[in-house]
Amino acid sequence: MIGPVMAKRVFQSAIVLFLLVTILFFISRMSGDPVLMLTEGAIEPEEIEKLRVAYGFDRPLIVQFFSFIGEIFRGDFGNSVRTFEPATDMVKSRVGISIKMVVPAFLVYIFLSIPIGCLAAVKRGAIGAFAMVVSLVGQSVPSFFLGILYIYFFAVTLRWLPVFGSGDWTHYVLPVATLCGYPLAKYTRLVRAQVSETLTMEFVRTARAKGLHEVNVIRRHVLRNALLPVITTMGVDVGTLIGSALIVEAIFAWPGFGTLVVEAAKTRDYPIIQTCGLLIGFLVLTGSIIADFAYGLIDPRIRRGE
Amino acid sequence: MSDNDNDNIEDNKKSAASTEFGVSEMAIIAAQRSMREKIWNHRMVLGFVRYPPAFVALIIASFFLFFAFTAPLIVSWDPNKPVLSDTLQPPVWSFAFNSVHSLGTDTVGRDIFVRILMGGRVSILLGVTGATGAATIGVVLGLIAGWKRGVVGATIMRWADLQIALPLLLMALTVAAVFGPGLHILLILFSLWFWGPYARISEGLTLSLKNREFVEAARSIGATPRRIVFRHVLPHLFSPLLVLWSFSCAILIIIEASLSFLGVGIPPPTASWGSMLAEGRQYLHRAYWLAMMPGAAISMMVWSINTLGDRLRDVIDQRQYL
Repeated sequence: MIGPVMAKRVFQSAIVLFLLVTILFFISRMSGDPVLMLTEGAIEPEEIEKLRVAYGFDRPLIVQFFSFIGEIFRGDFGNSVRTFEPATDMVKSRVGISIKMVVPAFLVYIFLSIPIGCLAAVKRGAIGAFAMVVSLVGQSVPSFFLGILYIYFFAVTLRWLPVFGSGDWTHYVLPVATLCGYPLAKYTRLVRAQVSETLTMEFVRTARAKGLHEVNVIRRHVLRNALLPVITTMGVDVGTLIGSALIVEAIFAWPGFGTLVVEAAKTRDYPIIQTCGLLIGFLVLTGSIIADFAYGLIDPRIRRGE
Repeated sequence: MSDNDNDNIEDNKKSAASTEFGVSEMAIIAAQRSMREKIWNHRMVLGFVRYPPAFVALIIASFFLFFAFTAPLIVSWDPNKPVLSDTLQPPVWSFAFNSVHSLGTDTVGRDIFVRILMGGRVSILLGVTGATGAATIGVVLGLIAGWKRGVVGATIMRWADLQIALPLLLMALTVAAVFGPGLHILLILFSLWFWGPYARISEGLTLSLKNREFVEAARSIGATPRRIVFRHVLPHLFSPLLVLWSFSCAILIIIEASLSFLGVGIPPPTASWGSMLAEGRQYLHRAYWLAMMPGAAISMMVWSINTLGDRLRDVIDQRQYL
C-alpha cells in the first residue's frame, strides 16, 4: 500500500521543486536589468547591449524562463558572475567539505538525544529536571553565540582546541559541538515529551504486567511508538540543519557550502545562489520523503494505509 | 474576543441562576462552562505568576519590550556616534571605575548597553511585526484552504510546502543577493515567507471543525461562508495560533540576528544584536564583552519568549482537562 502514497508524495514534491525554480528565476529578474546589476554601470551602453544579447536577456521573460528550465534539465546552472566558473562545479567542490562537519554532528545528536530524552522521561525528579533546564537553555542560545562561547572558553581562555584551519580530529570538535547544540536540545525535549506520553498508554502496562524487564519495555514497546514523530521532525528539519551549518561555517571559517552561499549573497552572485537554493530545496524535499518512507517501515499501520 | 467571552459568561451565569426554566440541560452546561471559564482566567494569571521561570521571563521580555518602544525617548547617547577617546572600555564589574558605560564600549567607543537596547528595538519590532504579518496571511490562506479544499486548497498548501523547502534564512540570503540588505526587505520577506506554519495549523483545524454541529447550525440559519469561517471557526484557532505566534517571534529574532551576523541583515551603522556579535568575535581575546553582551541579550530574549510560549501552551492545555 505504500507505493501509491509515496508516488503521490514524490509528485507533490516535484511540483514544489518546480515552484521553487519559478520563484528563484523571477526573484533574480525582479531587481531590474541583470546586466546593469552585474556590471554595476561600469561599462559603455553599447557594451551593455552586446552583453544583453550574449546572455539572452533581450528575449521575452517567458522565453528566458523556459530556456532556463531547459538548461537545468541539461545540468547547466549557469556560470558564476564573479569567477565565471560553472556553478555546478563550484557547488560540488564545496558540498564535500560541509558533509565532513554535518554528518558527524547529525550522528552525535541522534545518538545522544534519544538516550538522554528517555532518561529524562523515565527518571523524573532531579536528573530529568536538570536535563530539561539545560535543554531549554540550549534551545535559546543561537548557534552563532554558542560557537563564540565555545571559542572563548576552549580556544581563547583554556587553549585546548584550535579554532580555524583543518587537520586532525581536534579541528572538528568545536564546529561539530556548535552545530549539535540546538538540535540536541530540541530532540532531547521532543523525545522526552513523546516517551512520557507513551509511558501512560495501556500497552505499556500490559508489557510490564507480563513481566517484561523495564529496559525491554522501553526499547521494544515505548521507543517504537515514541520515535515516530521524532523521525517526521528530523525529515522536516533538514532545512534547519543546513541553515545552522551555514552559520557554523561562517563562525569557524569552514570553506564549505554555507560559506559559498554567504559569499554569493554578499557579492550578489545570483547564479550561484539559484543553484544553491535549488540544491537545498531538493535536499529538504528528499529528506521529508525519506522520513515518510522510514515512518512506513517502522509503523505497519501506515504501511497498510490505515 | 475577550469582551465577547465576558458577555457570554455573564449570560451563562444568568441562565444558570434562573430557575424559571427549571434545571434544564442547557443551564447545567452553561453553568459548567461559566465555572470553567472562571477557573481558566484565574489559572491563566496565576499560571504565569506562580511559575518562577515564567515570571522571570515575563520581566525580561517586558524590559526589552519597554525599551524597544521608549529607548529613543529615554537614552541621551547616540548609539551610532563614535567617541574615539572611550574605545574598548571594560564593563563596570572589571573595576575600571572611571567608566560610565555599564557594559563597556566597543572599538570606536560606542556604549554597548545603549546599542543593545537600540539593537533590541530593531530585532523585537522586526520579530513581532514579521510574525504578525505572517500570521495574518497564513491564517486567512489556511482558513480558505481548509474550507475550500480542491484546487484552491492544494495550491495554497503547495506554496506553504515551498517555505519548508527553502527555509527563511536561506531565502533571505537569496533575496539579499538580488536586492541587497535592508530593513524593509527583511520585513516584507518575513511576512511573505513565514506564513506556512500558520496556514498548516489553520487548515488542519478548519478541516476538523467544519463538520461540527455549530458550523452546521450557523449554515442552517443562513450565514455566509465568510461569516462562518471568520466568526465561528477562527475563534477556535485562537489558542494554538497564539502559542505559534510567540514561538515564531523568537525564531524571527534569531533569523534577523543570524542574517546581521553574516553581514546581510540590517546594514551598518544601525545597531543590531547580530552585527554587534560579529564585530565582537574578532576581539574575543582582548575585549570579551563586545561579543558576550549582545549574545547574552539575544539568548535572554529568546529564552524568555520560549519560556512564555511553553507556559502559555501548558496553561491553555489545562483548559482541555478541566
